[in-house]
Amino acid sequence: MTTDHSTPDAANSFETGREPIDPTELFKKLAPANIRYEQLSRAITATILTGIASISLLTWWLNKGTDTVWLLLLAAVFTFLAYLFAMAWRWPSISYHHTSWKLDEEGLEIHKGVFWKHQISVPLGRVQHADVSQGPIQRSFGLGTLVLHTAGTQNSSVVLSGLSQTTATELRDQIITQKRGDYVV
Amino acid sequence: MSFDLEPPESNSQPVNDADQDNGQTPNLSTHENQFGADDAAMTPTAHMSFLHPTSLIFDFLAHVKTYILPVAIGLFYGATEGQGFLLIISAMLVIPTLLHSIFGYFTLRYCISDNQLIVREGILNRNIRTVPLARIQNIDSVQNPLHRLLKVAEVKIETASGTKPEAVLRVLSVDKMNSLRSAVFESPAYLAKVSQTNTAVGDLPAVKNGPSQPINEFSPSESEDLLKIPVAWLVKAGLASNRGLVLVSISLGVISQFANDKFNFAFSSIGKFIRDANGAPELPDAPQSRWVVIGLSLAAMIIVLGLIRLLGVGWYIIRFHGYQLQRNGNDLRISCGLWTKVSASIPIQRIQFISIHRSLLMRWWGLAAIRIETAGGDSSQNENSTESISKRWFIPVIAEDHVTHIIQSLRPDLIWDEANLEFQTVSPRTTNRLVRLACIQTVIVTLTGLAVSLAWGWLPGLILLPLLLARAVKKGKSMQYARRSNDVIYRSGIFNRKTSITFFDKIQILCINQSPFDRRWGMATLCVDTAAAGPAGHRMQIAYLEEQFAHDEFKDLRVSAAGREPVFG
Repeated sequence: MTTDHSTPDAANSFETGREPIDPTELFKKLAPANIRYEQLSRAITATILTGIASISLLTWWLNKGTDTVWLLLLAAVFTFLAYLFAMAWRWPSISYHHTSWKLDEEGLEIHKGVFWKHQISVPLGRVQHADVSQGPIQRSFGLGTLVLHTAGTQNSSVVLSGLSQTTATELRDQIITQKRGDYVV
Repeated sequence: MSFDLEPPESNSQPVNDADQDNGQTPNLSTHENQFGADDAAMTPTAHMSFLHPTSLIFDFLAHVKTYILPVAIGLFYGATEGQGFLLIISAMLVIPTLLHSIFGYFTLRYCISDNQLIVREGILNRNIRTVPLARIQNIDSVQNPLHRLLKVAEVKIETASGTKPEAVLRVLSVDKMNSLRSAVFESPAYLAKVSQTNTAVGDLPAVKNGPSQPINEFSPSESEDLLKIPVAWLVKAGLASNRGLVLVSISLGVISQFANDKFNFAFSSIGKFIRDANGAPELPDAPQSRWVVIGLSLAAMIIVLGLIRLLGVGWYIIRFHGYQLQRNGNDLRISCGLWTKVSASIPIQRIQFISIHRSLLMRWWGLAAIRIETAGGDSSQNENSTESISKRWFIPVIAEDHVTHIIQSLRPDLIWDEANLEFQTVSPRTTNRLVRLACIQTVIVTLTGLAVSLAWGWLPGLILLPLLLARAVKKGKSMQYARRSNDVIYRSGIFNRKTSITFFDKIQILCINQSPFDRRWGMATLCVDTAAAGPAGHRMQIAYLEEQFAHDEFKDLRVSAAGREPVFG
C-alpha cells in the first residue's frame, strides 16, 4: 500500500469542503473532511473498546491478582488496541484514496475497497428513492451519507458515505430528477 | 417497496382520470376511507353484489385453520374426559371467528362501475377500496376440491403494487368469477392500457449493432395456447426431482412429533422382524446372516428411495395435472392442479428474469424446467399460493423442443436460439486456479486427517483429491456468459445446468467485485442484479472473468442499462 498520507489533491478543497476531482477519469473523491471524521469515529470506537478491556482486565486483577495468563492477556489486548488506534489513524486516508464516484448520463458509479475492490453502478432511472442522512458527528464535519434504494435484490440499497452534506443533497436531487418518469420494474 | 404504478403518459389518458390527483401515493390504486356520509353518495349501493353464500363456510374455515389443532385437541379431550373448561376455551376461540365470518359476509360487497372495481367491506371500520380497471394486473383464482364441489373459487385481484393482492374475494361462484374476469379484461379501460403498453414495447430504441430484429408485437386480442403438459412429462419430472425427499422429511418430522412411542416401536419391531427372520441371537457371529442383513437393508434402502421418487411423481401430478399455459395479448395465463385448481396470470412486462433449469436426469430425458421472476410479491414463502406457481414453478417441466418457442413468447423482442449462442467462457486460467485451490484444500484435509489419526488420516484427502480436481476442471468450462443486443445470458452448473436471461431494461444494479486472490490472478466477478431475484434460484454473478473483459462489460452494460427506456406494465 503505497499511499500518500498528505492527500495533495485534497489540499485546496479543504477550504471549500467540497470533493476534489480526479482529473484522469472524471471520478470524484469523497470530501477530505471525511478522513478526519473517520479517524475520529474509529478512535471513539477504539477508546470504548479500550475502556471495556481495561475494566474486564481490572476486575480479573482485583479477583485473582497477577498471574502469567493475565499478563499474557494484558499484552495481547493492548497490542490489539494499539493496532486499532494505529489503524484508526492510518486507515481512513488509505481508504480515502481507494474510494471515488461519478455521476454521468449513465447513472451513478462508485469504486471502493482497498483489498476487496468493488465497483457498483446504479443505472439511470433505477432509483426508487434516495435519502441523505447525517449523524451527529458527521454534522459537525458538514458531511452526509447518500443512500440510494433500487428494486434490486442482492444489494438493493447503495450507500455512499463521506460526501459533504451539500454534495450529498445536490446528488440526491440530480439523481431524482434524472430518473425518467415513473419507473416500475 | 413502493412503486408508482403507471408511466406518466397514462395519466393523461381519459380512461383513468379518476386517480390523477393521487399519483404520488405509493399505494395509489386504493383509497381507504372511513365510511361516512360522503361515501354513500360515491358508492352506488343499489347494484353491488354479495359474495357467494358459501363464503361463510370458506371464510370461517380459512380463519379457523390457523388454530384448528389446539381447538380439535381441546374439543376431543373436553368431550372424552369431561373437562368442561376446555370446551369453553375452544368455544371462545371459535365463536368470535364465526361471528366475524358472518358479519364479514354481510358487509362485503363489490361492483364494477365507472371503470373501477369497488369493494366495500368492514364491520366497524368500513373501508371502500377502489381499484381502477386499467390498474388490475391479474385476477387469479384458487379452487380446492371443496370449492369445486360447490362450483365456487377464491379470487385474488392483483395490481402491480407490492406484495399482497389488492383485494381477495373469498369466494365467488365460477360464473360470477368469469363475468368479473371478462368485465375487467374486456373493459375499454383495460384494453386501452394494454395497447398503450404494447406500443411502449414496440417503441424500444433500435438496437445498436445486432441483426435487424423484427419486434413482433403481441396484439392485445390475440390468444394463443402455448403449452399443455402431458402426464408423462410430469411423471418423469417427479422421478427426476427430490421433491419426495422433502415430503418424507416433513412427514417424518410430523410423525416423530406426534407418535414418538409408536415410531420407536415401529423401528424396533422392524429390527426384531429382521433378526427373527434370520434366527437372531447369533447374528453378529454368523457370516451368512450378516450378508442377509446387508442384503435386506440394501433392499430396504432401494425401496425407500423408490418410494421417495414415487412420492415426487405424486406431488408433481397433484400440483400440475392439466397444466395449461396461454398467452392472452400481453398476459400469460397458467392453470393447473388435480385437486386444488390454481389459475394465475402474469403480464409479460413484469418478467424480470428467465431461468431454464436442466438437472442431470432431466437432460437425459430431454426435459427442462423454466422459472421466471416478476417484480413485486414475496419470494417462495408459500408453496401453495398462486404466486409460487407463477414464479418458482412457472413451467415445472417441458420437453427440450418446446423450450425455444416458449422462451420467445415471453417477450416480444426476445430471440432465442440457444444452440447457436456465442458464449464467452470465463478466463482460461480458471482451471489452473481451481486446480491449485483443490490441491491446497486436499493438503489441508490430509494434514488435519493425519493430526487426528496417523494410520488412516490420509484417506479422506486421497478420496477428495480426484473429486475436487474433476470439479475444478468442469466448473471452469461450465460457466458461460453472453451479451446480446437486448439481454445478458449466463449459464452455469455442472450437474444442474441453469441458463438465465435478463434484459438491459431490467438491470437494477451492476457491480464488479475483486478479492485479493482475484487481483492476483487478474480476474473479477461481474454481478447483474435485477428486482425480485430469488425464486429462479440462479444469481447472475459471473466469477473468474478476465479482469479487462469484466471491466469492459461493466462499462458497456452501464450504457446499455441506462440507454433503454424502461418497459413495464
